[in-house]
Amino acid sequence: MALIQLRGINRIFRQGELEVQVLKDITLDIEEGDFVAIMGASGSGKSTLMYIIGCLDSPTSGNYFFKGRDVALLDDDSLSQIRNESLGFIFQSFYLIPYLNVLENVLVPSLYSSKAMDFNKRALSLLREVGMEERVRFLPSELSGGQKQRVAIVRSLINAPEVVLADEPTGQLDSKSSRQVMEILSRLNSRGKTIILVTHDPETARYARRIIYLKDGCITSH
Amino acid sequence: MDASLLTKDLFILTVFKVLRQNLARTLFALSGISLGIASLVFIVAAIEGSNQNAQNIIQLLGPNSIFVRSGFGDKNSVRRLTYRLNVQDFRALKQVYGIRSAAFLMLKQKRISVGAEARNAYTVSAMKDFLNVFDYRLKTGRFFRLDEYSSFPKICIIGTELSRFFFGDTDPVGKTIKISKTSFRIIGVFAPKGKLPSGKSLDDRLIIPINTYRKFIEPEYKRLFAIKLKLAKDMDYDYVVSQVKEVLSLRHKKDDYVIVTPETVRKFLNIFNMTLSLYLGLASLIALFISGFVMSNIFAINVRVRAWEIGIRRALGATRDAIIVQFMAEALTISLMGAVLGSLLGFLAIWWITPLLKIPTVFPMKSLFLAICFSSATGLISVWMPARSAAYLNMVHALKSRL
Repeated sequence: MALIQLRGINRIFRQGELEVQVLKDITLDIEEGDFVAIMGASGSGKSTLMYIIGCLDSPTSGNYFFKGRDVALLDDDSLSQIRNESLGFIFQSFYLIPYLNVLENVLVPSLYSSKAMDFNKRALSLLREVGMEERVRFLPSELSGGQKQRVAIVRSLINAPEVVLADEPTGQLDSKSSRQVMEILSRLNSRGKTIILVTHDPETARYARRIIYLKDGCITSH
Repeated sequence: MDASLLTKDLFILTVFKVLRQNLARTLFALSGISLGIASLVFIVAAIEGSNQNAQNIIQLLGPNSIFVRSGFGDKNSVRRLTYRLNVQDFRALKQVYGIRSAAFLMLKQKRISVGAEARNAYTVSAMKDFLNVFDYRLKTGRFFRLDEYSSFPKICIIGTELSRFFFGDTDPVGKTIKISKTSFRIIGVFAPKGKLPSGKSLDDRLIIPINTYRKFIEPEYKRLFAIKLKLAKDMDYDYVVSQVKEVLSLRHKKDDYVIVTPETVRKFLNIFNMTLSLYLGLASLIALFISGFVMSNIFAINVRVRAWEIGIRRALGATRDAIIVQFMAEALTISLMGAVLGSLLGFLAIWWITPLLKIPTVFPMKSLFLAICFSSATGLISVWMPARSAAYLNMVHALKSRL
């Protein structure tokens, strides 16, 4: 059974009288260990799809099964737990908390985790892996974009999730940093981590094993 | 390293970092809370102080006693500033049924000297029952003998403060002291009586027998400063007081005297306390209410500003409760700091103002507990709504709110 199963997902946003259908009848399976890029122009619904997969938003209709569980039946606390333990997020604008240093930022998910592990040790070894071990006490404002994104990647991995969701992870990076970030993600995937990447940049999508194109809320091709 | 400990540390660390990051917010909320708490602490101290004051008066008055002090008559009287009670009043009051003993108090400020050292002090006239009725005890030496009341011996009993002033640590009994220009022999030192509520000491006085007083201090006296009555055993206190009132009301106008009983002290105290509690209580309640309101608004704005932070925390797995707990912890930290700061301010106010209010300076430790309770309650109640709204933010909107 696929790790992520989407069945007939629709997402409609209502603004007063206006209804906008952002996702139309999306059916999609993502297996464990896959590296999927979701591509499309802006407004194609790719970010909304990622938010739904990431349990940050819920579909207007359709079913989403995560590890076989119907997400619609789960309460907020259970969804928080899934986000915390099974999903890791990477965003275009990093979302590092400005008043916490690199190590503290990386440890934020551990605040909400019920897993018992030595987060501190894990954080340091992950930071070493992405070449950030020298900067554990730096504030986000003292880092370059590429460094911030590497910290964000470590943060997404701290609770050892099954899936990493990356929303335009290279959107604010120069080509060199983009390459570094994407190489880290590929390396993760080669070690078995499932990666879902949202991007409009073909250069970034190249790293994926599989590309899904979205247009006007529909999957046009795999 | 223990992981759970680290998590707890990170949580606390986060709270302090947030407070430092939002320094203006923190200081603003803090000042409101601490002012409210300061006035609360002050009220408790003031009430405690005035209670203690009343206890002192009641203790000074002694059990089963009635104290009648001269008034100065009515405000428009020509003879203002003369004591209105006289010896006839004393005789009449002494006859009241239920009075066991009575004595009147007369005193006059005089220049007292020993050798070259001199100061002013009250010289007090002692009639036969005076030392007993006014509850004097001896520290050293002796009281007056009966025959000394009817003759004119130049002897005196002095207070500990006078003794220390003139003689230091040595025993003054047998030594000579001058009242104006007349030399008196000291026969005793009375045990410390403490201070009047006004702060005036009762231990820098000098007591001489009544006839001597008449001869050397005030030859033409008729007017009394005060009369003190002691009740016989098993007499109904209220009944005797009512009799005393009746006798006085037949002989005098209302403004001529003040009857001091434990009950009147308590009554006065209650009025004082109620006024104090009412005004200061209202003030502190308003201050706390306003600071709660301010804090609520500051946090509401803060939730908007930090919406994306809430969004990312939710994305990283924070439950709604975790978000509420975070904001509550920030509020609670501000509140506790407010309690400490407010208590300090309050204690400063107590130290500064209570001497002016003529109440003893007490630092009631129970107000610290009250301060913590009140400020925590203010913080937690006022931040509850903003914290809840933070927890229920739409996560996608919250994440996108960062520009």
